[in-house]
Amino acid sequence: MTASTLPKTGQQLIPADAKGTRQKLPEARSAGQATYLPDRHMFALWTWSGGAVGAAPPVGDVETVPLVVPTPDLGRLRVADVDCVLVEPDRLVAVPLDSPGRSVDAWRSWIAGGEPALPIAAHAVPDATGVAVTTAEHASGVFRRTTSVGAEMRTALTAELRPYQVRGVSWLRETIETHGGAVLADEMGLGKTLQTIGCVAGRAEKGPQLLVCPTSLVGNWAHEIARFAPGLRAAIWRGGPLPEVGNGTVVLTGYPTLRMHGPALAGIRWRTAVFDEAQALKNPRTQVSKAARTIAAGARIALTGTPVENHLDELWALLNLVAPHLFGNRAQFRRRFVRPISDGSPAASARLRGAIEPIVLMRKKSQVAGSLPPKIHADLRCDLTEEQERLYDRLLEQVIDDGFGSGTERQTKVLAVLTSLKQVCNHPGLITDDLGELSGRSGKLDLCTDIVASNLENDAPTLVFTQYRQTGELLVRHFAERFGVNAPFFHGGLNQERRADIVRRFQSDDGPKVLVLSLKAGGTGLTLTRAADVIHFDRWWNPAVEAQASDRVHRIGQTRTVTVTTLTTGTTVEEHIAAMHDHKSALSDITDTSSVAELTRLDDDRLIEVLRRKRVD
Amino acid sequence: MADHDYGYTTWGKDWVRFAESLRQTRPDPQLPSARRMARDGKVQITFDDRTVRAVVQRGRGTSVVTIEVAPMSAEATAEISRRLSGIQPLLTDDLYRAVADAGHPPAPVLDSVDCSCPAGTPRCVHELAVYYDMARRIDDDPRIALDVQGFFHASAGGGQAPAEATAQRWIALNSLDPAAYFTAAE
Repeated sequence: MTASTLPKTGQQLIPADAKGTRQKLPEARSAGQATYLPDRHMFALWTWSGGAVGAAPPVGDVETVPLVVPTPDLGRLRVADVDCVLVEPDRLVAVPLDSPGRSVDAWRSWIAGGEPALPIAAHAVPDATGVAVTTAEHASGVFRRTTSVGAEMRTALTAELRPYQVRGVSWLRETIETHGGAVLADEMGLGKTLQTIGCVAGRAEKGPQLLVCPTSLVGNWAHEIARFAPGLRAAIWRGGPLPEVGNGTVVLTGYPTLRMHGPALAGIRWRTAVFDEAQALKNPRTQVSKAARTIAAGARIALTGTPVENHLDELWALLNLVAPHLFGNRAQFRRRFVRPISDGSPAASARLRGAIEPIVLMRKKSQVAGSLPPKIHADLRCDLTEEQERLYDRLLEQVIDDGFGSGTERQTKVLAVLTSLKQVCNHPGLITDDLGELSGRSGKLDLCTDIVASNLENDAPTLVFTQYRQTGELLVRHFAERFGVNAPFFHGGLNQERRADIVRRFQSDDGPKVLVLSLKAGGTGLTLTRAADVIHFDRWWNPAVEAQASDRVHRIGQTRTVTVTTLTTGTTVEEHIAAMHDHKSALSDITDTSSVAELTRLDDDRLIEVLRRKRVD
Repeated sequence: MADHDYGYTTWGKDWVRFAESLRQTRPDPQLPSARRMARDGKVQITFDDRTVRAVVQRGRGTSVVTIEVAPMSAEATAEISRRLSGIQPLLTDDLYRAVADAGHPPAPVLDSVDCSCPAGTPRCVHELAVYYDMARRIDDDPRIALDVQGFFHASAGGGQAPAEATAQRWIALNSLDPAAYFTAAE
């Protein structure tokens, strides 16, 4: 079908009211405009001059945003791609604009607490199918609610939220209230965890809440909740009798626990149920999905970082989980969206975006780049598997029995113990030599695999740094088995020619999607700006070494926001290393060996205390 | 037997009913070819407010079908607006049933149907093909079912706009006055 009233974005003109009113518009000549983008809680600044969209005001990086604008004769409205500069509300007040139009004045007044009427230009965001515009009431309502949530979050959380994150919290609230469920599908690195904690903190007084995530992330959630919302009580549950739940409690558990012990959760009326990395529930027929659906909750939130539009069956499963009353009929969903989209219909894609828009919020780093620092740090805590716990404790017992000795012997011994404990954290097979099946045995490897999977989905090339040759080889093998990707391994054993070849191939457009590097060999000098994502698989004593390695991608020529993820295994010596980073960052001349020397100087009891697992439960 | 490719939503089903009336007792031999024409893209529909205009190709001939749809009753408009509670219309089968159960079935009423073909019969194959194509489009996007009855015009502009109580999320582009683009309307 070609002609219809549902035009593709930016193609078709829509006649205005046939009243024939062609008033002389006072701002038809030239003026700066501000359009509020409700999803990002930011303003798009642009100009109108001589009956057309002009160049973006020279106050920042230019980005193209689809907006509803008048035709040159001002007789009709249409959707067009407009060059804009995006600014946060705080900046709109002071940003210098030549001849600001009514839309700029009106929003400045709203920011100052006024409530003047908004011209269409102030809320000219089109819907997915290009036939409707955001209403003035909606734009101003979102702005007002988000501003007030921002004020509330400043006292509720110990972290400062970026504007789009504040909007994430206010959006979660509105959506839960209207539909009973929500899918937050922001790209990885934008802070879904923090936004979720913000939402959960606001609902804590009304009953217990439940959060289900991959087992390897349970510790990370506990850590982040303690850090950002100390008022909440996070209780980890691994089966057995439930901890006492009351107002302010957030019960944290993994998907395997939900699958095996789900009925224990059924007796409680949860205020909120959050499903992190909800792609774990992509198949509605699995036991874990059935268990998830039986949880009685006042609101359900699904979090996912994979681009949901690429996996429509998974998307339906998430929609059905959080809003079964709106997305109950899988057959209809398939006929209406899945089939035509797989046949390549762009109209069906737009219809899908329109249909899920009320309950899915999906933002990309590029869309909120103006609110992001050039580098995002994500420090993730992962948990040990039982196999890792047993091995870690056994190794340490052995060392305690043998003793550390003294003098140089002591230093060598301490270093050896540290190395083997860190290898247990990386993967138990590195110690036991049982390297058959790799998945499910190292919390860290599983988490790293999830991140790489998500980056592969997003076409985001990734660097993975490790200190250990063996770990590097294990990663290369695992990525090949899991994803069928051939990740080169850049390490000190390669000659100059091979190293140069790896770098050259990686920087080419169709180069490898994952590159594993040894921290020592790959940490300096190279330019690997095709990647904007860095993972530090293990922790090094000196933060400057990690930072230098991260700067392989954060160099001149990098145009995107760089995401640096560090993986730290909770309760282990890696946590001690991570803690040392915090007070070390200021000192730059620390040598790597001095930290080990420092440990060597401790007496046996103190040393063992540092190495021993800190039990959390 | 009914062809379930058309009217798999309750909203689309209303348009299938124009072709396959429940009162009909004998099979209509024109229906299979009407369905085929809709499926093969022989029907090109454009909308103008509540008027459906369709160019229908059959063999080497082309006919133009014009259908005028009656405006939705104020009661039905109000009922649907209330249930949509101001958000993006999510028109599920459940919503359809709820509105119908409340006594305001949202099924369209046709004011007039006209075809340019010389067939003197009241129901020509072109007309039937348009009903199927409408059903197909509405199954894909049920908002069309409301749009063609003037729902969005009524709830956006009109005197006692039914959706005013709650903050509406979207407003139809064609119900806005470009004169208010740069300066807010009073």
